[in-house]
Amino acid sequence: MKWQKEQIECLVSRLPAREAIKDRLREELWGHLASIYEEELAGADSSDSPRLAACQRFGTATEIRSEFIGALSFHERIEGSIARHIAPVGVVNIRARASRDAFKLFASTTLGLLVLILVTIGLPGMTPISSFFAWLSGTMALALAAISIGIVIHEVHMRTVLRRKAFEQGHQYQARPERIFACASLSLSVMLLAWLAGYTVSLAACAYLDQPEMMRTMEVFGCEALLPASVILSLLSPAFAWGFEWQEYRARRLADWPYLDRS
Amino acid sequence: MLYMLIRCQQPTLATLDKLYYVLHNSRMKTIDGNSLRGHLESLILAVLEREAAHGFEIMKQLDEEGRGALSLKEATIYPILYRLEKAKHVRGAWDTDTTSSRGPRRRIYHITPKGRRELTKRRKYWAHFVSTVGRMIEVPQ
Repeated sequence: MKWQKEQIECLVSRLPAREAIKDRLREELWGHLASIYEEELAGADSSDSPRLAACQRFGTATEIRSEFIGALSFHERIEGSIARHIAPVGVVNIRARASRDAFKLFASTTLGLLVLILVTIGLPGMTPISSFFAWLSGTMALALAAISIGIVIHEVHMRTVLRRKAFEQGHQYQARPERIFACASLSLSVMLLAWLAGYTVSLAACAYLDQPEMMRTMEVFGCEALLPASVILSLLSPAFAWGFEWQEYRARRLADWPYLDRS
Repeated sequence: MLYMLIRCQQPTLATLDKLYYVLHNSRMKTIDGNSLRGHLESLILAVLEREAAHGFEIMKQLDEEGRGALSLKEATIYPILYRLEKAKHVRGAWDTDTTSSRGPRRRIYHITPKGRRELTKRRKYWAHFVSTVGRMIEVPQ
């Protein structure tokens, strides 16, 4: 059975496609290869030939992969390529990967904050309050952006690692509370991030153009209209989280391999 | 391939065709995947028109209908099935009856109404192609 899995994995793992598509292919192709092998085994007289005959009937990984790539749309290939580049390759230690991600997130956020502080202090015509608001909202926007990106990358890492484990060792892929929390945080941050980014850019633009009147209007408009609107919109975050989890559920269903090894 | 498509619409011709295959089977060369490229979708739709099947069954039926003349790498039908499903010409569903069986689930493919219309269109095109190109290729009497 192991050589069959290896044969399939060799073909599927390098496909530029989403994990859900790959999972489906793994199961279908494995089923087919196993059937061919059983058929060859039933009609064979030596121990080596059935495997060879099954592989020959099945086709080489290169030719089948090229057929699959031809069947994928441009959008699917782009999506798959992005997932491949941010997903881990080879044997991965999940803890090591998580700590490395956390460090990267911390480093990028700190660097971004330093740059932002230097830029906002140097802007002409900044009143103390607008300078403080610009700095605060810019900082928060950057931090939220970094956290969001970090969560997404970490999600992809974890998903790929767990799927691979499920495929290779028959482990179960489970939804965890921290995963649901991460999804909710990500969706919650989207609206706030939009407000903070818009507010910071408009304040910085006013300061750069030396328009104190406009800046005061922006401060009032930003704090009294845009902020409440973004908070209200953020209340819709459970819908985002639900949608995200639903997608996860579908992917988990396709990635449910453990029963393959049951006897 | 020709045999399968003709058989579905003209039984009389199919009988003659079958006789031809039986008589000339020993001298026939195999038809490789490259020659079949572009027609495999039609062949798969023709198989699924008769009954729903999973990938391995489809391949078996193609092999039987082709009388061993089709030389295909078996896994190459899956990209085509994927393409057909994406185009909504077939609908795939995992076989839920896995209680008694071991191993991977099977994905059963059914032809959709859109797939039937597509097959009819392809048959017409194929008949037109054969009548036009066949007339040109045939040895002059």
